[in-house]
Amino acid sequence: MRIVDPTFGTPVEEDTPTVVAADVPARSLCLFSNSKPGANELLRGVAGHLEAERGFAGIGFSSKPNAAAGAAPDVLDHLAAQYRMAVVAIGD
Amino acid sequence: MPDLGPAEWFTWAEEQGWGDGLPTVAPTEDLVEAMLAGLAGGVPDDVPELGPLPPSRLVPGLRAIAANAVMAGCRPVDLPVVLAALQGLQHEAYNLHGSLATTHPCAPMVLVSGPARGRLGMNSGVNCFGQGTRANAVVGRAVSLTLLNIGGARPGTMDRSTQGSPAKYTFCFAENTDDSPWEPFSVRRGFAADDSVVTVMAAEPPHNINDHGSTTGEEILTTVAGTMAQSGSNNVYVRGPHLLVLGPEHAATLHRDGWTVEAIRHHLWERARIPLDRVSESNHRQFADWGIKPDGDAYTVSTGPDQLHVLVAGGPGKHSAWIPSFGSTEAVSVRVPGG
Repeated sequence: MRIVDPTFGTPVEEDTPTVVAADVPARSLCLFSNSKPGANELLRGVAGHLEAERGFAGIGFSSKPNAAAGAAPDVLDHLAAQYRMAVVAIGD
Repeated sequence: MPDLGPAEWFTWAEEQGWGDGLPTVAPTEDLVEAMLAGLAGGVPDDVPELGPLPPSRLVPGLRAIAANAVMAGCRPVDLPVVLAALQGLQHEAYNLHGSLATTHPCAPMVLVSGPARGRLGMNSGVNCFGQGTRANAVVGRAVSLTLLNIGGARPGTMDRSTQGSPAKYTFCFAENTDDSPWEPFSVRRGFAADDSVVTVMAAEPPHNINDHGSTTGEEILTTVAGTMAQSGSNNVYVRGPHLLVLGPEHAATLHRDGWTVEAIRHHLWERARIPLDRVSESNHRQFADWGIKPDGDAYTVSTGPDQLHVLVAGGPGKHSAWIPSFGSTEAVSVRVPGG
């Protein structure tokens, strides 16, 4: 028998990812939380270790407006323009 | 593929990761074509173009949606309602991605108003949230299967619900306008009485409101308000909509005592309050982080009476239902294509 694939869909062309600005320092790092208390705590712990053991400084922090909503694109663009790396936590 | 019997098909489909754990109908080409041919006059002009479904970001075509409808057990007459529901889910205010990926147990609730209820033979009366009526069962299931199979919202991977809920299999019911003393819900939302309308909301399953003792509308609303004032509800700090589905007997008592829908909404807004001592200290801080402050000595349950939606469904008996939501969602109403 011939089956119609119930998972079929057409991929969309995704927006081009934001390119990091050339003048962003190589070790610039931000933390990005889904805004839940557990995620914030995880990120604080990560930041402490990275500062103490890896010499990171000036670690930035941002979060979604709330855990139930998506991150605003302009916030992500802003972070991409400021930092080379991000650690994302979605832990509860 | 070789011809498979129903049991072999079920096993094979499971191995592909297709389905919800219950047996499905094989979406053979002839059944899918028959499903599509059943759209009135072919594909109506007002069939919506759907965008990408999260989290897979795949744009579903009509054939794939029809295949999921076949798998769910739909008949061709059910398909326009499924399409309208999927259109509603894609409204930005519904927050489909968030509602699929969350740890909260919300499911895509589908409420049907207008003539489609009769056309599909939907149950708006006795046991309207429960088993036993094909249209209710398969329309909600087709929506869920589409989100699973095309959207990729698979439990444990992209669907991160801590416990889930039975409503994730199917959650579809119809408005009972015959036994409602008020205008239909869809008409109050701006649609014509002869429009078929689907309203979707990322919702918890119905919470029962048992009130056999109250004899006045105000007493019934005291019980409703007490049921809605739950400190463990998302709506306390995420806010968003609630649906109050009054059983016909509760609705009749309220109407007898002069209550309008607007009066009910305002009354519940004032009375459905959560006393501060029912909220833990850590949650007070958590709510404050979300910008939620108590109103006097209690928390409200949303942002205002406009988020407390009221309609009638069900049969005889002294029960109503409170349907809280994911919070970060809205009740979105969409006209069914083809009318």
